[in-house]
Amino acid sequence: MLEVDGLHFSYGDFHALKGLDLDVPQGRIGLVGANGAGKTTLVRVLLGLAPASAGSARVLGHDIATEPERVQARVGFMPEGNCLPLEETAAKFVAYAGELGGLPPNVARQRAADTLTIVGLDEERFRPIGTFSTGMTQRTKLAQAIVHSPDLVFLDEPTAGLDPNGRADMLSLINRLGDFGISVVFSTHVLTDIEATCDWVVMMDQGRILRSGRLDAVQTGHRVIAEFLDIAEPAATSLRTQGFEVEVDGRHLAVESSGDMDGFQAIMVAAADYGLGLRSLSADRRSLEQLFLEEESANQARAAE
Amino acid sequence: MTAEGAVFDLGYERYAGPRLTDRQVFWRIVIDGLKKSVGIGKRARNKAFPFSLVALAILPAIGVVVIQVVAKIFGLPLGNDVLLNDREYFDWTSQLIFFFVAVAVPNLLIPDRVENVLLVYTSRPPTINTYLVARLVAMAISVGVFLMIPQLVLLIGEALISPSFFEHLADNLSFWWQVPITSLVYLAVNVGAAALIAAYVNNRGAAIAIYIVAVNVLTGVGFGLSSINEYFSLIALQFWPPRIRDWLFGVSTLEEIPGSDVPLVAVVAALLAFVTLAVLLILRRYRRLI
Repeated sequence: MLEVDGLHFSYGDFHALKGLDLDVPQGRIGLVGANGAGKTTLVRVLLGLAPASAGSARVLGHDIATEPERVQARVGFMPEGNCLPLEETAAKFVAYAGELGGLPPNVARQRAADTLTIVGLDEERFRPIGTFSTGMTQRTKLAQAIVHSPDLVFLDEPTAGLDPNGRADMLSLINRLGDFGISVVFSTHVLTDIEATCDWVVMMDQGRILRSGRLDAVQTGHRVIAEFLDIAEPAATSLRTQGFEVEVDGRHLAVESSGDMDGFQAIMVAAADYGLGLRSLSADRRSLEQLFLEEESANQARAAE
Repeated sequence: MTAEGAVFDLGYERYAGPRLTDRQVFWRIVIDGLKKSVGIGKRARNKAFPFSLVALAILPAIGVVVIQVVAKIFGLPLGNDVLLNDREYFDWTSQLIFFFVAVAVPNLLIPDRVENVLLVYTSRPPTINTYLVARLVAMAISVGVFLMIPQLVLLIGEALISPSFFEHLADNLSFWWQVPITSLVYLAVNVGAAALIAAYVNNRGAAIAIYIVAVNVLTGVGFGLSSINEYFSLIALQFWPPRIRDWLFGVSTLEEIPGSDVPLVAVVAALLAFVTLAVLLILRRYRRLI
């Protein structure tokens, strides 16, 4: 769905994107990073709103530099800040946004009504947008992004400013987009939102990609943790002699699998050899936040060198 | 038969039907611009000002025709002189168009930019250039209609009361190029100045005030400085359209106005240079936004 190769973008002397390489499949993609990581810039480049200074990007199979109109005809965009005309009604604006996306006027009006209903705006859609709450505004922004039936929608901080209920509703809507056949690129710095909605994550920091992969694979990694019925030190000694990196804390043990060294198998063999009872054995599923902080500090250390 | 019913949530459905072409989308933006320029789809107070101006523009034309009809019915001697000809009518409509443009152009350009709606537009196939051209076309149509309709009322009204409708039209063939080209000149000067200001000022009220003050100050300064050198009169934007209009209509009515000796070619050159500069500055402003 997204193929990015050596992508650079600069604002004057400031390099916002520093040679990004990405290959991302269809689905719900989380784009995470701290403020200033380059997420919004990457989205703007992928939408054809800002020309890359070097490298290339293909979105839905089309080169964004040479065929931006073909990309834009198939994508939707929900910007982070305000992007709605305050004096117009939601129904009118979303219908107009549909027409700009290529829908005939009658179809656009009907789909605007349907889409606004789906995002939870019924009678309110006939009120001027300037009278809307933050939650209603965010819903309208989402409606205009999907009204024209895009294949892919870019959501830039869609939960910004929402209260807990509004946030839960928005995340639920984002989850439903997949059921509608719409792929999503969800840009945010709220990692728990990504964990709640996405199946693929792209981590960014200081204009670079830290990691890109399936969310479960990224979170799981190669670390295996075990809890024994007795102290784990004998098993740890055995595992170390086999070349594993091992951490021990009483009855708990963690090993790092690498290459063809299978941590699961090695722990089970060690437990059998020393007659240790195993209470639990599982992959160490780290939170996205923990993982991001590790990657970010490693990236900053590399940058400082 | 059962009294029970079932509710089906059809949810979101993909659209696989025909889509608008780029040209059709362009005209959708033009139509949106036309509606915004006269307040259609907005509250009544938004429509009051532009429609009042349109009414004021047309009423004298209707009045002239009615007077001629009454004079004809009662055999009153009006002679062969027309009460208000099409050239003179521009003196009236140019005053109205000045205020119409002062309000319509900021309404057309500023909210989309300040409210960041341009991001939604340009993330779709229309580019920022398409948007600007469509807005310009919308303005040209609304100003063109504003200037042309009273003239058409005048022409057709007089043709209806003349001995021969078609003979009258045939005698006034020059109308069909003199009036549109003169309208285009008024359009270029007024919309060019108003759009340039609206492109750089983020408050609608301020943009309206700056346009009105700037055009009038430039006129005063230009005419004031023309005593030093008559070419300074070219600073007065409002001086250009009547000079070109008089040339198109083959008359000379501006001898009393300072700078009337400035060659017409200099006026046309000033107009073209101004329009080119305005377009470039507007494009520069909008390209930096996206």
